Amino acid sequence: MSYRLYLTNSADGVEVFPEYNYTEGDRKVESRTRTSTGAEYVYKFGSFESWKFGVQFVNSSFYAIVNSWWLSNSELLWVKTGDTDVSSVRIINRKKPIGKFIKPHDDLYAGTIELSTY
Amino acid sequence: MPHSVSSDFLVEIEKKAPLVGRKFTIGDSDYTSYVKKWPKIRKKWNDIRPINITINLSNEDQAFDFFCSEPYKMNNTTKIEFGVPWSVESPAGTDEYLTLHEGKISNVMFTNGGCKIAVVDKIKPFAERVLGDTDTPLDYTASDYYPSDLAWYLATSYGGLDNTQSTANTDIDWNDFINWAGVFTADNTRVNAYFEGTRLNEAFRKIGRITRSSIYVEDGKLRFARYTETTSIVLNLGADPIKSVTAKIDDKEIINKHITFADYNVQSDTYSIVTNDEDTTSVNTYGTRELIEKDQNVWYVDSSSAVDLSQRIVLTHKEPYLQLKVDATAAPITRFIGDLITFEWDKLGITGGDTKRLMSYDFDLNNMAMKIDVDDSQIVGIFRLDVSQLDIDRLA
Repeated sequence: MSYRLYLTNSADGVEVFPEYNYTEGDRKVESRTRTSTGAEYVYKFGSFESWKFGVQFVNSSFYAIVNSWWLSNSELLWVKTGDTDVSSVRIINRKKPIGKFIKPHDDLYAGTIELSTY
Repeated sequence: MPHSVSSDFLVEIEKKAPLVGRKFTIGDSDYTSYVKKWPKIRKKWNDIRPINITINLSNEDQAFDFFCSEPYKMNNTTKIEFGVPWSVESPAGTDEYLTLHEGKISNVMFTNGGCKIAVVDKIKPFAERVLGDTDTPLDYTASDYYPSDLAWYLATSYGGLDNTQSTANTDIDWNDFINWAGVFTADNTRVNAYFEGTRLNEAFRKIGRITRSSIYVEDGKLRFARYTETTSIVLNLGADPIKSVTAKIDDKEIINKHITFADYNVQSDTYSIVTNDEDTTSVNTYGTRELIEKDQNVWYVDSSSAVDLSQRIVLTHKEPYLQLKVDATAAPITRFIGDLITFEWDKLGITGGDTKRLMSYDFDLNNMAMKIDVDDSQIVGIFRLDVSQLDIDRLA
């Protein structure tokens, strides 16, 4: 299954094939309180989506584009191929997402990409 | 008087999973999505001083850099609101928000990719403005004034608040003010005042103290109230929204003898009237607990006005009273300072029939938690509607 990650202001992008460690980590922005009677009160103000997955055997072009977007906090669009549900995301990795050779290649890379809506 | 909101709003906000929203706006622009940490909002019934609230914001996309080139925009009206975003419902309704804090920006600080904005409410001039000096005192001794008229002159002429005498007033809640003023005109309560360098907020604190009134800012307006009037508007919280209750009964709150010095003469520095009130039962039980009201800035001009203060204080303080600090959810936020509240707390035997008055609150907008102070110090002759006595068949 493939996804497409591309810039909001152009069609330029990359096709992404996530590994099976693909996870969705959507979260809610809310405050939960358990009062003395045992009642639970929850005040929800919003939510956001996030994804984390590995990629392998990506070429130097993918390496350059994705790392460049990470460095510049670019606003991107993330969509499953053939789907219409497009999410506005940024790459939120704390460290460079793609930066590891795959043995024995010195022109193919592996890494982990973390995306989150903004 | 509670916030002016719809009954749907009241029902929604007391739910266990209500539809809620928070808003931070500068002028007409909504910057809610930039807020990293929401502030705490504190209000107290008798603490008339500007409230300064700091909001932590993200500035990664330099959304607030405009302050560097256009610092005059600090003067835009800035609001922190909490409410129900009905527009996200289907069918969409009109959003309803309570203004928890409104004012001008007092400072902006950029740090570590973020921005901190401090917003001070509209009575900021009250802490800055000084009334008179020793060479040219501000003299209100030529006539006898209602305390409400004195407050109005000071708030509008010296505090710079709107002087429109109608509900169109943007700074002073006109209905509250008229009700408050009505107490003094009905009793013909009169004062004089004389200021030689008193700060405006201190003058208001003195007016509040000698009239036993609450003066505070809520919903973006300066409000006045005196609380002994009866009312049937009571918020019944029940038990579920209560997290914990701390109770205190303090012997030092007892006042069973009160002396008021009145008719001060500025030139001779003397008072020609001294009145007092005493509750002998309380004196016999607890010993004499005396409080003296003697002020050279604001004073009563006749004995009937002066003795009214003494009687009011002795009536409400002759016995020690229960002071409660209640940790709750956001459920009480629809109420103003001074409104009546009931709740249940089995451990102290507090039932829904024990009406308390909301004297202060601390609303943590980040964690949606309220700490409220409630007590009996200003409750006299509470009216309670006994539903069991109603003829339900006739009402149907």
